[in-house]
Amino acid sequence: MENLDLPGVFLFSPGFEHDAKEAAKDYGMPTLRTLMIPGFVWGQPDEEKTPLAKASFAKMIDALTRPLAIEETKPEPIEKDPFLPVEITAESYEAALEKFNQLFLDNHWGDGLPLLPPTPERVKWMLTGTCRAPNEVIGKVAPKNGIATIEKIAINAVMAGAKPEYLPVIIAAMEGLTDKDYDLLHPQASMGSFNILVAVTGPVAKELNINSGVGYLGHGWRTNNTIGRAVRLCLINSGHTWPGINDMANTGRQQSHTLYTFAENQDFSPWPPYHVTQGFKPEDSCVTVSTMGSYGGTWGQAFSGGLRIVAFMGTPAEKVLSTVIENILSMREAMFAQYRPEVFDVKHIPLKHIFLVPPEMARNFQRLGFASQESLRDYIYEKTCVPYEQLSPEEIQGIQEKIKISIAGEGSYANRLPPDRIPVFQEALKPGGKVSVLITPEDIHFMVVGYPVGGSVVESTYHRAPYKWVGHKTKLISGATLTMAGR
Amino acid sequence: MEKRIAVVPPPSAMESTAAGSVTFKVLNPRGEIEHPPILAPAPRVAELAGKTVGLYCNGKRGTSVFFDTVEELLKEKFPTVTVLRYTGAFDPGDKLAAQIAKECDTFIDGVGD
Repeated sequence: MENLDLPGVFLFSPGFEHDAKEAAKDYGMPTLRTLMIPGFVWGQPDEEKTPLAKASFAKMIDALTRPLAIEETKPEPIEKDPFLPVEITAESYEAALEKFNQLFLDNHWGDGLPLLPPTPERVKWMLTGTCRAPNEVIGKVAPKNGIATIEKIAINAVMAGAKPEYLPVIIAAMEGLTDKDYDLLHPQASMGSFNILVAVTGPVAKELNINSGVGYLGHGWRTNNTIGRAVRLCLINSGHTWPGINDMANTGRQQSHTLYTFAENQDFSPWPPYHVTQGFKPEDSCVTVSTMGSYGGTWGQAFSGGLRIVAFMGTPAEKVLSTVIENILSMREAMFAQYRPEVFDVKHIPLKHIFLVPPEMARNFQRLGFASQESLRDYIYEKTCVPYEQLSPEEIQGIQEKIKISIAGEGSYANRLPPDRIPVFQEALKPGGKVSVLITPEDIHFMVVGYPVGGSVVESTYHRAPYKWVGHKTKLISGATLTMAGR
Repeated sequence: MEKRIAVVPPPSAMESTAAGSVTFKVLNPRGEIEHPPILAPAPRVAELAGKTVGLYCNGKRGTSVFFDTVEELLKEKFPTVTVLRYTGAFDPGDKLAAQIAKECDTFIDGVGD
């Protein structure tokens, strides 16, 4: 609005001083007028807001009317960082390694764990894992839109301790996260502490020995641990994020260093590989990235964070299925609540659900007649559609509102129906129709992973992404030189 | 589990440059940024009397009460001011931003996430 010649002031809460400054620079207006509102905290009682507004009112008026100072009218240009190599010298190998690690951490180029030095020789070695050109641009990483190239990804992969044969997997994950439709800003910067799932499917998973069995999210596998860590380092270094500066994730995310990285257990799965549900061929090797909730399960079912247990091992498949359907239906307010911008509530945003199913449970689903993930997904979608006659007048109004703002393109992406789903809801919202509590069956995902003879069904939920259309993407692995798959 | 790939170990990058001294070069891991053109903020309004003030928020809890108070204070202190309220996404987008710029003389923005 400022660049449309409309003068204003941007308010922010305590703790966001760096974030406000960085955001102003990101938009090319480093001298933008901002104002901290002391004491303003999200979620505090309404009666506390009035005195805060009164206390800061004079400063707001001042920001709107006080003429700009000369230094405000002529902001200094932002110096372009050449990102030159750095030379490390010390009296011994141990001292040099320590010096390198401290330097990188001091510059916010690391993740807090010890890093391996990305020497030109070692980066070159890493690049032997791909036939793609080092200067190929993969995409831009929010919030600062730093450019991720093959070489930059390789540098971060070295630092993470990855091996060259993992590089194509890491590149594919970054291709998913930097896809033009993927809302990476939200998991990169939101207070909500959202995290990323990285699932590898297809023959490359076995070739690389990515853990898909006991302890698939745990320690002890260089593949799982360093592939995820490399992606995290790429996100830090290409996005130029740092906690408390422009990454405001309050809890700091579970599985922060390695992300939720695993492979599908295709050997024991009765179903086609997951990526087939996303339109790829069974023989393809793919990486799926997906934004995950990260609240730790304390904020009600709708936003249980990280992964939560849906059913313990040994639960009959029929019971698991009914629990899943009941859970999704219990969150019907996510779709049916009235959208009122003035009382924005994240619980009123439709969800996506990712179920990680142990092989034995997948076989039990198969015995119930579900020959593929899609058939199970479509069954659940059908069972979580609510007959029009069972909707309350308020719920009907809520869906009508959602259709209205979707057609107008108003509000955040999270609150809107994608254009191709608007007619589906218009058609369903009439006598005899059935309205889904989910936007699309494709918001239900099943991946087979874990101990081959038992295990619990776990789930991640995440509401629709607020700044772009999607928070879930599957990409084909390509350019591999050291594995048979992914070439 | 079976190991399937034999990989040549990375070459050594460490150099002993002098007795008791080690030097190595490391590449910069950061992604380059294409900075947008640098702009100055818009000139301020000289006074609020007779002006239209836009209040923009993304509707997170507490912002409505906060901006209700700001609206009351504006009307109380500057009786000739017109206040227009807008609610939208974190980033209002080109369409809404253009509308606000057309309808208002100045604005206060308070979005949260």
